[in-house]
This record gives sequence, structure tokens and C-alpha cells, in this order.
Amino acid sequence: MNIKSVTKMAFQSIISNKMRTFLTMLGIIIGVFAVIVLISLGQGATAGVTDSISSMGSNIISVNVFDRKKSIDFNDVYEFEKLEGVKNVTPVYTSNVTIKYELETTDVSVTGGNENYLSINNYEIGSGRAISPVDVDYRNKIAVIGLTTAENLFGKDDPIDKEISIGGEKYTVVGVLQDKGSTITGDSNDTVVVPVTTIMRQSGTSAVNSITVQANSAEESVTAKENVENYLLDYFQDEDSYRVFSQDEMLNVLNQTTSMLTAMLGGIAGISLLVGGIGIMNIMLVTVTERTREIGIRKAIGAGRANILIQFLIESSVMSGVGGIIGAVLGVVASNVISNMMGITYKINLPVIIGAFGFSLAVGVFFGLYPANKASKLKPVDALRYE
Amino acid sequence: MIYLKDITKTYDMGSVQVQVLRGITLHVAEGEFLSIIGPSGSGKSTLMNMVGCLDVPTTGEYYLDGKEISTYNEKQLSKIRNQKIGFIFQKFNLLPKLSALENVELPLIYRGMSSKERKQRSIEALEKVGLTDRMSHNPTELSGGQQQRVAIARALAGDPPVLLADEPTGNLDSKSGSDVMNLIRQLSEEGKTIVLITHDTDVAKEAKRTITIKDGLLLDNIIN
Ligand SMILES: Nc1ncnc2c1ncn2[C@@H]1O[C@H](COP(=O)(O)OP(=O)(O)OP(=O)(O)O)[C@@H](O)[C@H]1O
Ligand SMILES: [Mg+2]
Repeated sequence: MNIKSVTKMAFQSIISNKMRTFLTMLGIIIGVFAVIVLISLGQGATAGVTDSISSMGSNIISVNVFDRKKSIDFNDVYEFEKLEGVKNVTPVYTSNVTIKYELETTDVSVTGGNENYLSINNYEIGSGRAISPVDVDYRNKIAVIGLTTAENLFGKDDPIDKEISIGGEKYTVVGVLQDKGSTITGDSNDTVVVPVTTIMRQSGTSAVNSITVQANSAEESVTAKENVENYLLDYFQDEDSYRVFSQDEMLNVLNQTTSMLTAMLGGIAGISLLVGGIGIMNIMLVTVTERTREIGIRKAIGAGRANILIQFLIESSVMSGVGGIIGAVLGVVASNVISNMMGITYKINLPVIIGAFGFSLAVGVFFGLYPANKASKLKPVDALRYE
Repeated sequence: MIYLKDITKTYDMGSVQVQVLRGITLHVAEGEFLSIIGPSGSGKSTLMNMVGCLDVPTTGEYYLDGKEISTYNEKQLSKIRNQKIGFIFQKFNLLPKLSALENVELPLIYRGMSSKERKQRSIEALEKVGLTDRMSHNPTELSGGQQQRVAIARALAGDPPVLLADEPTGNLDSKSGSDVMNLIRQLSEEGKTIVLITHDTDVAKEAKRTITIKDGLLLDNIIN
């Protein structure tokens, strides 16, 4: 008894009932499809978030202040620059305001920073100039805007030296930033940066929202972070008053969250694969009953238990295997289409595809085992008697 | 060739036990042509299934070719069915989705024969029953007589020494029936050991010897 003949037999009986075979395979197709699409998109989204955090700049430590009684003022910020391992510091003050140019308006969050803000956040000037120390010292009413904001307000016109109104006060646009692309967290080009001193006075506050610290290097960011934390503890005398995040930590937290999410989605999809397997088992059991007489005939002319077992196992694994291949192809195509639509970068993930296919095959074998065993155990006389 | 010693078969029907065979001793010599007659329900088919290793006796001994078969396991029995025995059923028992040729090939597939040899021997068997022109037809496209001849070709393809026919003409008109009987007589002349069950006393007389079974017991033993 060679495998080739049994495989041929299995294919013959699968093909002889096309509709049922298709419906049975559908469970597996959907399962494999769902696993591949959900995991691929999950990983694509993870990569997107990671990219957007990385694009914030390297060696970045951000400090957020929550204390109600005591605050960090603009001048306190420069104490951080003296700490070991720290290269640059910028205070950050963000406020959401409406921006107007002639008749155009747009809602953007306006960020106040010092002369280091742009370089720390990896922004490059495309035209015009950046914020200078003088602008910060003299509270100049100038603004550097992103490409999208420029387009929204000025269309095709050159924004440089134009006056815009930020929260009702007049600012002069002195620079436009280079394209920084968009990430999962939003369009990095839709931004307005002004001197922190200017926007703080306009808002009538002396306390900054947060401070961004740039370490000398990735290696020194650990030391820098420790020093920043020590300084803050000394300053506030309360660990709950502030929060220090290094970029590494943020990446870790986010990666953990997203990979947990991906695993969860994959798990749910995996359950649908399992359900597909139960569908196969169900159909195979029906098939065994339907084909009792055939099994009897085969046994009467010399088929052993192993022959019948293998025939039925091959039938169920061919169904799940072919279903797996179809599901994988559809899954890859759909992942591509969806990720294009959502602007996520999608890479073909071979281990996931192979894993999903392998799992579907295993499901077919596992759920085929019981019906096949049942078929092979039928006694020839009883099977022949069956109508 | 076939030696049954004190064979009994009891079916356990839950509350009651039905003894279908009540101690049958029977010897069939090599090359002999034996017919079995008896009323319906007397246990003929049950006995035949025992001889064909489709079923095992409750008690008693069964020797085939001098070997004690009743102790064989399922795997050994399937080998015996495949190599030593050719079965011809009243209802033909062909696989409906396979062509005539594929049906005839089936026992050879289970024997593990190469596809070339298989095809050759199957065609030879179909030649013997005069159906080479219907090889690619499915059973549903064949008449009852033709189907039974395909079934005979299937029983012959593996060249087993023993042929068991359980009412082979039972579902056929008299013309097809006599065709089938001619074939069986010819096979007997070629030296096959044949056991034939029938309700037709004229058909039974074709055999060298006829036994009668009634209520699970061997009643008569007539040399024709
Ligand atoms: N699996 C079974 N379970 C219970 N009883 C059975 C079983 N198989 C056969 N019998 C009983 O055994 C008896 C003999 O059956 P068998 O088929 O051998 O008769 P037969 O002589 O071949 O009859 P016929 O001429 O009608 O074919 C019958 O009464 C039948 O009901
Ligand atoms: Mg009978």
C-alpha cells in the first residue's frame, strides 16, 4: 500500500463533494486568514509606534511635573544642564489654541521651547531660520511652523515673514520645518513652535509643563536620568510630584503593550482556527457514517486498519492544508491592502505564515484522528451490513 | 483447504443471546466446488463471513491452508482477505465513484503492487469476464449483470485460491444469472476452490457437492 495511491483516493473523495469540502475548508481559511492579518497588522502598528517614538530624537529623557504647590520655573530648567551626562535641555510649554492667517484658521497645539527644542526633537529647518537664544531672552513673537500647518494656512504662498495670530496675539513666521513624515501618533508636520518664554507670558504662567533633557549619548542616558531623578527628588522631596521617562522606557512600555495586544488578537484568531478544526471533525464524522459501507467493502477486499486510518487522515489534512494555503494567500494580500490604506508599514512575516499554516495542518490531523480511528475500527461485517 | 471445526456464533442482543450457528463442522478440499442452500435466516451468510474472515466465530476452530485462523489479529486477517479470498456479493458492492478498472485495481492497491502491474492484471481480469470495453465506466453506468462481472473480476484480480459467492445471481435476471454461473463454473474448472450460497436448487446442482443449513446446523450433504 503506497502513500501515492491513498493520497489519490483521498483527493478523489474530497473532489467528489466540492460544496461540502469548500464549506469545511472555509473554517480553516477564515482562521488562518484572521491569524495572519491580525498579527501582521498588530506588528505593523507596533513598528509604527516604535518609529514615531524613535523619531522624537535619541537619548531623550522627558520630565513631567504634577506637583500643585511647587513648580519648575523657566530658570530652574537650566539647573539640569549642569548635571553630569546632560547635553541640552529645553523647557516645554504646550497649549492648544486657534491660529489665524487672514481668513484661514487652524487648531494646532502650540509648543513653546527654547533654542534647543528643535534639535532635541530632530526637527530640521527647511526654509527661514530656527528659534535663537535671543528670541527666548526677549520673548520675541516669532513662530516656526510645520509643513502641514503652512499648507493649511498659506496654501502655496511663502509663509516666511507673514504675520499670524496665535491665540489672539500677532506672531511673525520666521521658519518652516522640513518634512518629518507622519507616524501612527499623528502628523509630525502639523505643529507650531514658538519661544517658550513668549507663550508662557501670553498664558500668564511661570511654570513649565515638562522638560526635555538630551543626554550626551545613549550610554550616558542612564547616568543622566539618575542625576535628573536625584535632582527632582531633592527639589520636590516627593517622588509622586514628577515623572521621568527615558525614551528606552517608553519604547519598552509601548512594545510590551502592543505585543500583548498582538498576542491577544492572534490568540482570538487562533481560536477561530480551532473552531475550523472542529468543523472538519464534524464533517469527517458525518463522512465516516455515510461511507460505512464503502469502508466495509474496502476491508472485505483486504484494506487493513492502517489503510483506512491513513486514507481518512489524509482527507482531513488535505482539507485543512489546502484551506491553510488559501487562507495564508488571502491573509497576505489583505494585510498588504489594509496596511496600505492605514499607512502602516507591513512586512511579510514568514514565521507567522508558516506557523498559521502549520497550525491549520496540525488541527486537520488532530481533529481528523478521531473520525479516522472510528472508521478504521469498524468491523467488516457490520460495515457491509450498513445501508 | 478450508476446515471448520465445531463453529458456533452467538449474537449478544443485550437481554437475549441469539445463537445463529450451533456447531458446524465442514471440510472443503482444495479445488472443490461447494454450494450451500437453506432457508432464509438459517445462518448461511454468517457462516460465509466466517470463512471469508469478515467475522470471527464465537467458539470453534478454523483452519485455512492448514493454518489456524481464529487466533489471527485484525491485521493478519486483512492480509488473508486480500490474498487468499475473493468475495462476490449479492449486492455487487462496487465503489460507486470509481470506474470499473479502478474497482478491480483496489485489492491490488492494498497489496502494495506497482501501478503498472496493477493495471495489467486488472485488465486481464476484466478480459476474463468480457468487459474490456466498459473499463472506464462507473458502476452506475453498468447493468446488474455487468456490475456482477466487474465484481468477479475484482475477486479474481488478486488471483486468490478461494472464491466465496453469496447469492451472486440473487439480484440478476436469468440471462445475466446464467452468464455469471458460466463464469463461476469455468473458474472452478481452472482449479479455484469455490463456495457458493444460493436459494436456487438448479444453481446449487452446478456444484459437485451441496450442503443444507437449517437453524444453524448442517443438515444434508449431497454429492451431485
Ligand atoms: N449482527 C447481527 N446481530 C444480530 N443478529 C444477526 C446479526 N447478523 C445476523 N444475525 C441473525 O443471524 C441469523 C442468520 O443470518 P444470516 O444472514 O446468516 O442468514 P442467511 O441464511 O444468510 O439468510 P438469507 O438467505 O436471507 O440471506 C438471522 O436471524 C439474523 O437476524
Ligand atoms: Mg444471506
